[in-house]
Amino acid sequence: MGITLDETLGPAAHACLGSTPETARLRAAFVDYHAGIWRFLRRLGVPEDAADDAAQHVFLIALQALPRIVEGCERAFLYSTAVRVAHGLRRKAPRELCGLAPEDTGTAFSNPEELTDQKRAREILDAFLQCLDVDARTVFVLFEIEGFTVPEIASVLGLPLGTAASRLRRGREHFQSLVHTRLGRAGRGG
Amino acid sequence: MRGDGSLRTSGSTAERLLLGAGSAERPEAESVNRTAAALGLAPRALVAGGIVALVLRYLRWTSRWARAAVGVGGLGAVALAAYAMAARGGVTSSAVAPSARAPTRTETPMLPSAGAPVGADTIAHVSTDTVRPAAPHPVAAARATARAGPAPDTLGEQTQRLDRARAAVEAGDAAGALATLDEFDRRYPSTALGEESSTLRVEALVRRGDREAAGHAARQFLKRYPASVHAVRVTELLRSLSP
Repeated sequence: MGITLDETLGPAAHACLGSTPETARLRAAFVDYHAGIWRFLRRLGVPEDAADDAAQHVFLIALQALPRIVEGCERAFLYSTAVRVAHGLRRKAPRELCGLAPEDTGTAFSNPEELTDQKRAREILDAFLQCLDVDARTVFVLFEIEGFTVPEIASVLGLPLGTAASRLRRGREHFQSLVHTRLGRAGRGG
Repeated sequence: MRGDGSLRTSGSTAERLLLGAGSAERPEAESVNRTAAALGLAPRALVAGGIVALVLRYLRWTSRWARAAVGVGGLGAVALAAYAMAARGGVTSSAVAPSARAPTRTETPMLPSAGAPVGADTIAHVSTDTVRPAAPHPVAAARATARAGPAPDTLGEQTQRLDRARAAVEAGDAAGALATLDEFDRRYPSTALGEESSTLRVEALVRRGDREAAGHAARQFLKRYPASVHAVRVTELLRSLSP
């Protein structure tokens, strides 16, 4: 994919580098995090046909850096690296999908029955996520889908805690607005 | 919001369904194996582990089909059924779902996943810090509903009713919530949203202080939906009932 290690590492990933020579950890990291990294890349907008290669690239970078990754920092390193790898690979959102007035897109997402079909629900989810700005989207996906806490997100992304929290709030507000507006009755309440 | 503050557990029904679908996605076994091979992680063992994981996860997820398959043809038939499920996108290869919230930090025996560099007979022990139960399976549930339940065009109405029940629980109106849920269950006995309804019932019973009924409902839920995304919440509620 033509990305060198140093180009890909973010500040938080660099912070995870140490001198622990334990290459055997790669297996455990792969078992624990491959599916999550792949899914994270998808939710960040990496197309399905590029997600396999992108996930592989993340782990190849980890393989290169492994001797310097501090034990216990594998997850943060992988997710931090995935954010960088996803940059440039994500699909651009069709502008007309992201308006908050239903009439902007007709009835594209007006049928709540679609939500019980997981594949269709994912398509709708990804369409909504595309409408979020990149910063808010990254934090939102880490928290709402990957199960990170706000302090963990701040650590992975190298952000002040308040910034991570405000990005999460922004992402939620936008996401909830989209759900509420696009899915009509099914999106309301709660 | 309540619980861990995530929309997946405290958002509207639509938000939960969308985020649940996003959380449930997994890479295909072929993708896992290809990446593992590129990293030098014993692809043959991964393939064997992947097949076993497919079969065992299938057994865990779809009891009706799996039991029928076991009854008529043993493991081979289960494997074929699992393959069929995989082909229609219902089964994914990894038994490990990393980095989701977990209720405890205990050691839990996990099935060998397609991503696990282990032999087919190996049980990997992975900390539940990074593992959660298999995701719910609304596609199968929806298909079951399509076969046996009411017309799907009621779903918008169903979500409204559930949201009303949730609002009542959160407002402390347990009786109102239970009345709404009783009506919901009468109207939609085979709904794909049964997990949502049952979870809210447990919460409403806990809120009402009816420990016996709440405990019964919680145990019924965990028996019926062991892999539900709400299982963590229901387990927490069940624990809260202990003196």
